[in-house]
Amino acid sequence: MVTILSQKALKLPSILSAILFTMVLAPLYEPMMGWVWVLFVCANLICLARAFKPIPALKNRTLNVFALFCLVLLITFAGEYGLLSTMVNLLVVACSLKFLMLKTTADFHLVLIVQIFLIASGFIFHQGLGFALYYSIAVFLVFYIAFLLNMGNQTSTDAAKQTAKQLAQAIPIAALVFIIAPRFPPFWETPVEKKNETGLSEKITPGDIANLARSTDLVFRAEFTGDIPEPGDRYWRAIILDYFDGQSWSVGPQQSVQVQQQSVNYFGDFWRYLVIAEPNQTRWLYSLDIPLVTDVMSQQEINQTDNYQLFTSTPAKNNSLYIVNSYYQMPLDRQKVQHNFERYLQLPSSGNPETKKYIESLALDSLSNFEKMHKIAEIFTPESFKYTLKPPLMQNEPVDQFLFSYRRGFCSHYASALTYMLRLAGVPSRIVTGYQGGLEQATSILTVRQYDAHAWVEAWQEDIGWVRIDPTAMVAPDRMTTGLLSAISEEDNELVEGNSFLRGMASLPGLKHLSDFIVMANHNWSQMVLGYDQENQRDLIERIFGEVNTKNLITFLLVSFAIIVAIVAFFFAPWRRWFKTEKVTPQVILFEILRNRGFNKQTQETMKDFFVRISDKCTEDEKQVLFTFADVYYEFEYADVALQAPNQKRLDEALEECIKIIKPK
Amino acid sequence: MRHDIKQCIEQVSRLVKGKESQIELSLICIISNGHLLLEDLPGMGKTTLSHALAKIFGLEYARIQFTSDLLPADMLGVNIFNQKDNSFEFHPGPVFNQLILADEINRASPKTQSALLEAMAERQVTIDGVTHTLPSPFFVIASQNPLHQSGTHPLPESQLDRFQMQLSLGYPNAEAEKAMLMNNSSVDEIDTVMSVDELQEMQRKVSQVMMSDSVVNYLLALVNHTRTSNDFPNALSPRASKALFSAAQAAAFVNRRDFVTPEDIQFILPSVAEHRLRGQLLNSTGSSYSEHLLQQVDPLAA
Repeated sequence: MVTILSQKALKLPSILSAILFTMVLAPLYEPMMGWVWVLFVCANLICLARAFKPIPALKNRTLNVFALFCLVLLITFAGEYGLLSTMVNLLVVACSLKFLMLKTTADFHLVLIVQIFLIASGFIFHQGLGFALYYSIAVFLVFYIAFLLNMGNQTSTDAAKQTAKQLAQAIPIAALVFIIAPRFPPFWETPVEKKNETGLSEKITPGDIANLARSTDLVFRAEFTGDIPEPGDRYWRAIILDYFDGQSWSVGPQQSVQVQQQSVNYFGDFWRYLVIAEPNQTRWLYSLDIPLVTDVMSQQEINQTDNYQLFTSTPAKNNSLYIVNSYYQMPLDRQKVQHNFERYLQLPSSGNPETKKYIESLALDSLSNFEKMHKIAEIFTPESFKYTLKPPLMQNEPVDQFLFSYRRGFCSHYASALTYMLRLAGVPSRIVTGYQGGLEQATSILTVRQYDAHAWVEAWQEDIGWVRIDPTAMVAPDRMTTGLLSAISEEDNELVEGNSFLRGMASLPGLKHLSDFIVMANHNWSQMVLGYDQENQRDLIERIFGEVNTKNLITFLLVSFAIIVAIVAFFFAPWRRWFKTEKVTPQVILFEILRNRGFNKQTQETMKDFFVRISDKCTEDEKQVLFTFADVYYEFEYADVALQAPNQKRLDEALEECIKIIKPK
Repeated sequence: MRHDIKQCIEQVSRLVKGKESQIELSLICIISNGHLLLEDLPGMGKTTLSHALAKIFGLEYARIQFTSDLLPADMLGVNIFNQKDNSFEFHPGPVFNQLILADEINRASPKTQSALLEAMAERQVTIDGVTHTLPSPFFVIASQNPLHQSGTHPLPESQLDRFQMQLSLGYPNAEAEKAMLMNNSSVDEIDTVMSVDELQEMQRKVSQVMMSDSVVNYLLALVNHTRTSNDFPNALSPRASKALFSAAQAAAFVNRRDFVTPEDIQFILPSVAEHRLRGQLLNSTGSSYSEHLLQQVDPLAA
């Protein structure tokens, strides 16, 4: 139906549509192309203006030419933005163009449908609880506008109530479907979004991690059962960097990513915890030493390397969930595998002469590795070095500059300088990056954010194995025990985005609960909703039926289906009419019987007209009883009221006759 | 059907052939004490029908040809000064008859039209401050030419409402027309079937016909539908529901029933409601409002 809406009827839906479009697009800032933003803003402004003043519509031809132009632009930029982003942009462009000519209800419906698609694509980019709530508001708006367009002379408040009611009715069904619908692995992979590199990378140039430290993005949560390690022991290992080219450290060519070959005898006490890791750009995952993965709840398998690192075969696109036992009393690499120590001693041939001179001056040759290590590390004292997020640039001879001129830096500066010196002294060593610390939330949950990123050193001792040594801790002991926020000086504070808010909240006694609550809610959301998969579904079935087999599965599906039907019936079926207000009168029963025979009374027909019309297709007997019934009915219904009681009896008898004679087909 | 009514129809049919249903409806209109509007092209038998109706009930009959220069006084009557008595004497006009044919009512000026319509509603006429009661029974059969002609004043909605029923005779079929041509009979030949007293007795009985709750509900559902739906340019007034009520009673009476059924309502509704729903005679052709109305309302859904 094409209805051109009047100016007045257009007003509210236009304004709301403009708001809705803005709301839906705001979280999509990442994939959107710049010129699409411009188009969107123009279209939105025109739509808003049209709400208040009639604006002549564009000619169809002009619009088509414009659309063609936009298409060309889209294709031009497609390569740069990737398929997914281009498709999102296409949706936005189409919707914006439609916004230029919002006139009829059909136009609005189209726009609303596209908005729903856009909301759905928004979930590709954001899945947090906050976004879910935000998008719920958008969905409400979509339905509200649809109601406004179709409710005729209903007031806007009524429409809002109706929308709320309808969506509320949908919630239990949606929840049930979410729980019971068979969860197949995706038919095609959601394309990975190209993001600015966040998280650890396989190459660091000292100074790099200073950028990371400013982000409050969540990296992972760990839920401990039992003891939580002391803040100073929370070294979450991820990546080992062993190749130094004079400027940056990277994962060396010899470092193979292989599944652990030898079996390890685990012994001693351990911490047991569940890690829920956000997707990251690398294949590495996080654990405390020495990890033993006991259970993996996410889809991808998690493997261990010989260096006790955890990794997946490809970078994780979804949250990774796994349970780890960390045997903290075991030394690293106790087996003393035949290590190829050359790669842990590799150094660029030239550069950093001052450092070389310094190491020579220490005269370490006769000492053991352990003694060398301590001797070298003595240079790092809180008095002589300063821990800061704003180190000066050190581009030539970075180690020399750091150690002997600036003496200011961040963890990667310290780790880099120490490893370099150890290797000069002949001690096999490597940089380990990962996270250090984590904020204790509620009970036994640690949340680790990007600003907890850290780099430290592992050096080889002949009799023990790899030993962790953290030069940053020697310079700024606070960094390890109380976290980054207290370690950095006041002037650096502003660099940590959002931190003042978080900290401010946590410091007020009343809001501490609130911030805890928000963290817990987010945690539960990601664990119970986003993490709900086939496994959880099986668990649920198991909890209800005891075991998972075909019969129980089918029962489960049927029961759930029955519940959905019951909910739908509760709201929508005409049962109230059947059982409450309308008495079941003889003629209703008779008409029901006739309907089963395929005879439907037309609205305008009286009973006799109806019977006359169908009498051709009836047997004589049927005709007889029908007309008798009609006669009695007419007397009962239309004639003298005084006779209704006896006539009621006759009517019932006539109905019985009818039931006897008229057989359903 | 009642014997006397059947006889009436037979008698009228001698003059107006092949139009039994219209004749029955016009009889229903008369026994429910309502005025009739005949809408038809010239020469379709409007005058004949009304004259015949007057004849079968033995009513005094007068025909007023409406023209643009017809004045109310021409129709109602005038006070004339009697020199002998030195006083004014009322000379009743043609309206003082029991059955009046107001021929081509749309050609008269609105002033004259409304004078007649006032007389129809009040059943009395006031001239120079003196009220003169019209004879009883008093019926007006008005005829209207549906063609748009210059110098005509189609009856406005408010005045259409005063006619209980509107009927169109339409062309006769070939057989009826042939019969009409072959034995030409005149009004004088048909018999008076009942007296005026009998007619009035009949009218009294009609008003006592039983109207059950469910039928009234059906009637009200129909009326309300015209008021709530957007399909009808003019909704039915309470006067229209009264007209439907009494016409349905008369229809039931004609069919020898002492209670009204939905069929009665459906039978009389087109002639009672169509002209009110349609309003002014603009495009009288096209879809029928009353049929549309009937299709929308379920008689058994009371």
